[in-house]
Amino acid sequence: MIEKLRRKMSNETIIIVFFLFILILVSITFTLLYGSFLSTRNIKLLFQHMSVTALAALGLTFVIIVGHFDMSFHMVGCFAGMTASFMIGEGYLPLPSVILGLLVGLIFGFVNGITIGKFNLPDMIITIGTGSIALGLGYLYSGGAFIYDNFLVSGILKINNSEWFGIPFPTILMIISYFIAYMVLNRSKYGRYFYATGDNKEIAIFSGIRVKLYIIVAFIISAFLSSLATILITSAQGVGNVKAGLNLLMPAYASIYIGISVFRKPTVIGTLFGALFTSIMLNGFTLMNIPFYFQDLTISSTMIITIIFSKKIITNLTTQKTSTVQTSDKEVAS
Amino acid sequence: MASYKLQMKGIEKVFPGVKALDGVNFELKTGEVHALLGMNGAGKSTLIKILSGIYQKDAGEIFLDGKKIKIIRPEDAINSGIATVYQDPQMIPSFTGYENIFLGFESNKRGIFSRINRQKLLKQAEQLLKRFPVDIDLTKSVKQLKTVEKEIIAILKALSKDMSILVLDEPTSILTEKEKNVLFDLIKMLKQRGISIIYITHRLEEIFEISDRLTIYRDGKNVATLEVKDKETNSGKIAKLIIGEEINKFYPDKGNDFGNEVISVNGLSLEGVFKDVSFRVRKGEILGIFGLVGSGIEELSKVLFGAYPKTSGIIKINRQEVNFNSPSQAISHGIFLIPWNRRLEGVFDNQPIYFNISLSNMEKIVNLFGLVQQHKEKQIVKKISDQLKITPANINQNVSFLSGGNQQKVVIGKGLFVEANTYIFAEPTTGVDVGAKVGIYNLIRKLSRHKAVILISSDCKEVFSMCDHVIAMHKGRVTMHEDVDKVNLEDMFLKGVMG
Amino acid sequence: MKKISVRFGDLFKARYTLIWVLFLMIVMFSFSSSAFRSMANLLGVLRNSGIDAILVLGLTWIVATGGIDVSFPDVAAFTSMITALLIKDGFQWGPTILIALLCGTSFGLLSGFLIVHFKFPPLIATIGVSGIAKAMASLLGSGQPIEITRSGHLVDSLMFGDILGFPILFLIAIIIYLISCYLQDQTAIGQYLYALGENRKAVLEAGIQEGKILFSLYTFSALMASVGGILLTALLSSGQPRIGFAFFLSGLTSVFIGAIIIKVGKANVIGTLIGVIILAVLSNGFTLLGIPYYIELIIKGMLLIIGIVIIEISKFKRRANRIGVM
Repeated sequence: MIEKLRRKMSNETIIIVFFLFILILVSITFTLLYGSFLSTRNIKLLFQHMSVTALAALGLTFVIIVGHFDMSFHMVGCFAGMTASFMIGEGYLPLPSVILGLLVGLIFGFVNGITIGKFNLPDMIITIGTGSIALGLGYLYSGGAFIYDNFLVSGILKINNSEWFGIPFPTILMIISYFIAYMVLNRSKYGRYFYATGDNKEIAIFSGIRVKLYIIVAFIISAFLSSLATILITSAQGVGNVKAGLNLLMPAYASIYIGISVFRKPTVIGTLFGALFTSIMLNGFTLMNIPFYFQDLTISSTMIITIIFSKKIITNLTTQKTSTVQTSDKEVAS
Repeated sequence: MASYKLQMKGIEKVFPGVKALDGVNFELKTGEVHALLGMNGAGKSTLIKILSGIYQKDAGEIFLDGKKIKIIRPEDAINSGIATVYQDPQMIPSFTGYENIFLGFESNKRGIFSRINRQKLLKQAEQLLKRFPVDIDLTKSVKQLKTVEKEIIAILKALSKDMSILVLDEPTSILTEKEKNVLFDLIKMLKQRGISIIYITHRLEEIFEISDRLTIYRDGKNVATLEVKDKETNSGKIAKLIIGEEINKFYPDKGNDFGNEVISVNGLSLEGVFKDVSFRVRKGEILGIFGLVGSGIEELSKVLFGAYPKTSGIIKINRQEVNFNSPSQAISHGIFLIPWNRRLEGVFDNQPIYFNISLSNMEKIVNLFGLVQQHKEKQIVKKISDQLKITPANINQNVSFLSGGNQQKVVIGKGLFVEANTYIFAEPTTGVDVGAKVGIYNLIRKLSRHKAVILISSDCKEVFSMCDHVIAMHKGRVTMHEDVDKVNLEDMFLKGVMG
Repeated sequence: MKKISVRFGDLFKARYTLIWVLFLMIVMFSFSSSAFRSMANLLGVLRNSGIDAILVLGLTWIVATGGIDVSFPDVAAFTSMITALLIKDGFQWGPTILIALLCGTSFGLLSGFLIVHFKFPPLIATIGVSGIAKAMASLLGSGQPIEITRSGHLVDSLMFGDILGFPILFLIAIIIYLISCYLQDQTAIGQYLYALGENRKAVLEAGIQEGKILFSLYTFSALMASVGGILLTALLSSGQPRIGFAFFLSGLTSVFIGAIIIKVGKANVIGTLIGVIILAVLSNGFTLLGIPYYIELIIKGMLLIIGIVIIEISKFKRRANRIGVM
């Protein structure tokens, strides 16, 4: 009977079902061990945490889709967060502060995009460089000290604390962002251009796609969403902390690569799933009072194991290889 | 009967959608220079790749010195004494000549921690070089060398492994006249040492200079093997054998109702590649451009599409001068290129048919926000797919599952979707089986009734039979520019092949 | 020995500019801070350079092949913690070093395995491995550093002593670098790793085993990071679970600055050594001048970008015009 089912479903579906199964299993385990797992309070906490990770991961997803890597987004986010914090500390209203924070993030995204998309400089190195500069700039506001002033009175905390229809505001932002991203990447022409650019740049150019533009936009989106995520963290913590966004790096990559493992390519849904997966595991571990340093271990191991697992399934599909030396011949039959 | 150095019997090779080799034979005598001739798609490159281990044959046998051998990987070929030098030999640009020659073979043990004795290698390389009539500074890094010197390094690389058979794949396509002579002297010396040489080329004049025998292939089958010294062997006869006796009757009729000028090109040049190309194409007309690899036709097609920037020249659309430097701009001027090699520049393997077909003109099927109107898209794509007779007809199917001919149709479909005014077809039927070819030819002709079509190809029959007006190019220059009815096929062929 | 040939105009300038820059920096700092030009301080800089250089030795070659290793700081941290733990528990230095090296190097084995066998992109594989290493480093000390009491006379003299005026630590690094230089320039693997970075196809066609080479390189990088970690513990008398991002940045920047020197745009050991010294002088000078570490972050980030821009410009200029029959 299981064999029949197995044969009916394609390999892709098997993977998706398997991961859903694991997720449900994990959730059930946590519920059984800790009744509080399913409490409203915990679920809200879970989603607040997940929203932040998910937003940063979403931005990074665009960069991965166009075939690049971004090592700056978490540091740019820190700078954005501190910029907003500084403004609030100086007495400005939350809205302009947040907007300025997002703006500086955009600028860094643009710089990344231009150097990598237009001038073809190597993405990893450039983003490590720009990220470092951003992080350093973030320290300038207060020499690295926490910024407290005006936080309570300014209303900045409302961003994290307010709820719309019982849903925490950060989660609302996540839902909106993911919805827009889904529409763009899966339903619009722009999405096709992004995927085409990452799939094969040359074919994309020959198809009339302005690949440089899309690479630039991808980096801008990555910086922007990461800035947003870090500002949310700032709001949640109630203090301007320059290191606020640093922990976004690993979960973001893990979310995306878990998504890739499930869906075979970077996707909005995949990233969301990956973010959910990592957040549930982290949440459960927090309930178990497992120390913070296990976080990285969990996330890294999960990412590595899921990638290995999905690759193993893929290599079981038959692939024809003509030789160990795959030369891409210009003429197939000549 | 003198025993043969190498014999290949009954070799068959099938690629998706096309039978590249249909039971071909090849025999190489010891110490001879044997040329392989044939048009693109004839099978000679495939045969060579099987011999060198890049491809595996589907059927047939290979005998070396009378003994049957098995070649599955490049190492097997090398171990059997067969060395191959390809058209664009892979080198490490910043390494010196002697480092490239001995790459991977620096010491006898071949261990990755073994010591490299540079002095020794340099000496060995110089010893190798001494035997030949060239003077190359082997201590210079390879990227500083002239092209012929690079080729010689590649040949020395082969020789350093003590080969008995050397295969040269179009060695002169990137060489100048003078450099070619240097290469030929080298080949003559190798011959004297008893090394047997297989030489693939299109250039008939070279055959007479350097080879002893030649074998002609056509459509994956043997046609003839000739002795060069034989009085009967001349260019005309060879050309006829390469092209084939009859012009197949599957080409559609020519155009006769030509409208306004759609595109004209004047003095178009790309520095170092082609010079002074001028032509004009009218509505209803197909212009053919025939040339071999290295003649500049590939780059010309890319310049016309904005993928390479031109050095000089004027392009006019509907008699207005236009300037563009990217394909997206070219498309906006109504030009579309159905590119050179569909795999490299044409389709996204992992995407469905509809994705590929609509990609270059998505404006047609999106709403205000850029969202795709899937119903409309599927409708139009289905229409095109039916028109082109793409099989399987499921437009949601990934392109990777299609045969070569059908993949090419998808690329053409992409062009139809764009609704351009000037279509440039570059090698539209490479690797496409005969049945699909007919469909594509009919399509091109039908398309030309309302558009301007430029057909660029290294298949002279195709150009001759399809086009109303033909241009031949040789080493970057236009060598012939005539209405097709004033032209003889063999002449056109020779003009492209010899200049 | 390979001839060091001088090539294009601006690269010539760039290479020697850096030496001038180093010289200038030293002069400027010496003027601005009396503390800088003290013998003790300069020796300290050399000493730190020694450890830094060892840490990024493996990274240098990995970058030369076109890959990357972001895990070296965390592997060093892990090794540092294990060393401290074992010493604290009474082990002798000998077996401690052995165990620490084994454990640390195994991270390299993991990276190599993921990259070669499972075809992970090097960035993702090393990000993953660094997470595991970092977590295990923290685990060993429950998130805190591990202090060790005086480590013994021999170790102290090694860490703080000098021969002929040069810190022993620095000399150890020089020795390791000289050996590596030999490996890089005189053996097959050195040849092949550069070949891989330039034209992978040619390497495969020559029948060279790319997998073996990459595996060795990532393992070696972890080995070097482990050595660095052990030395750190000996120097600081404590195991450190967290090695800051600034450290990672310095290391990477050293490699890229070093790639401008000597080997014309390719990462190489001597260049990295000079790069390490430049950055160590920079850090030290800044610290003594009271310039906060975050300004250093900005400067180093800019240096990294400038370095890569120079390298790419030189590659661009060097690209031979391959189209051309005429």
